[in-house]
Amino acid sequence: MIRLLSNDNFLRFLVLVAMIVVFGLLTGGTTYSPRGIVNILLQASVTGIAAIGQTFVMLTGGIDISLYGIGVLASVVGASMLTSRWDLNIVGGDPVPVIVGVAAIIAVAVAMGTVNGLIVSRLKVPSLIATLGTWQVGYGLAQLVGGGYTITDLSPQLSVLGQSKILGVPVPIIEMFVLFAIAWYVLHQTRFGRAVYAVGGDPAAAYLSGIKVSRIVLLVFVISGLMIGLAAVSIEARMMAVSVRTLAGIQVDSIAAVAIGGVSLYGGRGSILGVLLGVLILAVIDSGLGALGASTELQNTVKGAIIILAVSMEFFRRKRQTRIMA
Amino acid sequence: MALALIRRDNAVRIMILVALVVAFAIASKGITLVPDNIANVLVQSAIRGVAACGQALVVLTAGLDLSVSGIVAVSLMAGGALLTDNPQYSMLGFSLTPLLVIPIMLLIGTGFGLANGILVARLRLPAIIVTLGTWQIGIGLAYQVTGSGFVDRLPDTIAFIGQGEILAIPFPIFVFFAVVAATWYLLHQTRLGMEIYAVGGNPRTAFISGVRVERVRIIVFAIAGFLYGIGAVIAMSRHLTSTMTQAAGLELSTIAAVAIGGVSLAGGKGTIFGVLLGVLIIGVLDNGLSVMGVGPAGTAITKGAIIVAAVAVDVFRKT
Repeated sequence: MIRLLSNDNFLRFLVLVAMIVVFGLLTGGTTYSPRGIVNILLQASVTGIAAIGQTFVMLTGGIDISLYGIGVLASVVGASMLTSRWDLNIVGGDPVPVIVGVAAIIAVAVAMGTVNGLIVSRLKVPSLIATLGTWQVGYGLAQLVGGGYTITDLSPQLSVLGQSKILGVPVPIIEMFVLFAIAWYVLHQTRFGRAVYAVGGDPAAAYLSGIKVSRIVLLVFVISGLMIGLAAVSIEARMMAVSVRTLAGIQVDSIAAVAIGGVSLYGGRGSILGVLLGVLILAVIDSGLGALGASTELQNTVKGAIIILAVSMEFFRRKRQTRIMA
Repeated sequence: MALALIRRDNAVRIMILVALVVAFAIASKGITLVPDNIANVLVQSAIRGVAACGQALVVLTAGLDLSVSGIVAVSLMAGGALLTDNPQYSMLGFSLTPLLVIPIMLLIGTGFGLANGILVARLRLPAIIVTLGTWQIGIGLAYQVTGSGFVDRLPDTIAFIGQGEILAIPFPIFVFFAVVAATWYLLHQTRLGMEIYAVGGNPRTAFISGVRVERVRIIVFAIAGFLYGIGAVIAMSRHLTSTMTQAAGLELSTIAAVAIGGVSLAGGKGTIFGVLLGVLIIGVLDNGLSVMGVGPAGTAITKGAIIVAAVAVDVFRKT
């Protein structure tokens, strides 16, 4: 039992359960009807998919604050190819086949992620600054491409990826769990995954043991781009509309989820299961506060306090460890 | 000779600044060089510049402050709600004198900074996450103070701070340069300044040589918060309104100014003169692009590219 309690992810699980119970009591249980749970998971899916990419980057000791810029650019490019509104369509009026539009969204996001990776790994620019720059560039390009309009009338077939269900479970939720499973496999069962942890733990040691550090750094940013691309597809297919505010704030939410999930900001430590729990904790807080009628602003305040609280846990854990060592 | 000059980091920044000024002057057929516009660039740079001095101190100790706009917003909204005579937004039901409100605003900034500092230094938490949290808290609180993120009808008595002129030079410019001078003095003429560089360079060595590392980190965040408070006072008194947009984006533009100014994000290296140049480079860019009629899209793209390029050049020259 004591060993279980000292397991951080078990603690996170307890926090999650406690929050569900508290909000459940406060709202009289309405939040946690099957439909309510599906809604919470739907909201979690976009943050979750983006947080997977952020996890890879942060495990190497970097940070990606360009997720919104990249995500909104990819969404807008896709939407302006898939819309049947001739005035907003950038490919000559007729919507392209859905598969082409989806491919374009992912291609744009992966390309931007690659740019991030090259700037950080080749030019040795700190990831914070590099992604600050690409965030601005991506956001600006999104405004240019979309003209600042809300793009609607997307090809109806697109909604399959966001609104359809398999065995009663919405596709985006399944997608999130599958991607988390793949991420777990990659991080814990492959050479590449071990290299990611090694680079974050000690880049010099990783280099000396034959790991191509700059290639790993490049790849984690490509993965981050791919994930925000998938998140963009998912939200676009669910909402069937895109504006320059699509995915706004996703970088803050993803960093918060990863930090709550226990990934060290200095890289090298943390588990993907923790991040999944972090994503769910955030979603439960958001939905619970929303159900209680809290304004978005109050939600922000509480979220901010919880982020600090979550990383403070790390401090007390460290303290406990040093006490054991001493 | 020329090469020796280029190696001097700030000489490069001066050249970039001059090149930008000349380019925009030619492109706009001299409009950007009209005295009014020059004053405009400086006034617009004042808020960002004052805040950037605080950010620079934090970054020099190897920290980072993402909470700038959150802190400025709280201070701005609280100040506005205390000063306004508009019953819709007033916190007390009457307009409190600026002689009390301005110190309160500075105190709010300092208090938030102190909280950042204590969390980062005492609990040893990563500055990015702590200030991400206080940023969210600040933005949330700022909205709640007024319920709308907007306050108008502030008293004319504070107008001088944002709009007044001495010898035809706008008052905010004096504040801006005074803060830069004070920060320079702090960094280069005081014990604390030396300790700031020491903590950022190598906290362990600093600790062993008797620097109270935790205390330095806390003080630095508190000073930064105080400076954000000054920024809020200037912002509020410029148009006699408090709006959330006055604070928006300050964390990024101050980090950009500090990075372009050559302060190492790893801490311990950089000069306040470089930061001043960084602030002016961003100010000239912003103003030049807007005079040229480049929309927000083009401005964001250009700024993003220049931030990355400036830091890349810096890294390249040092390796």
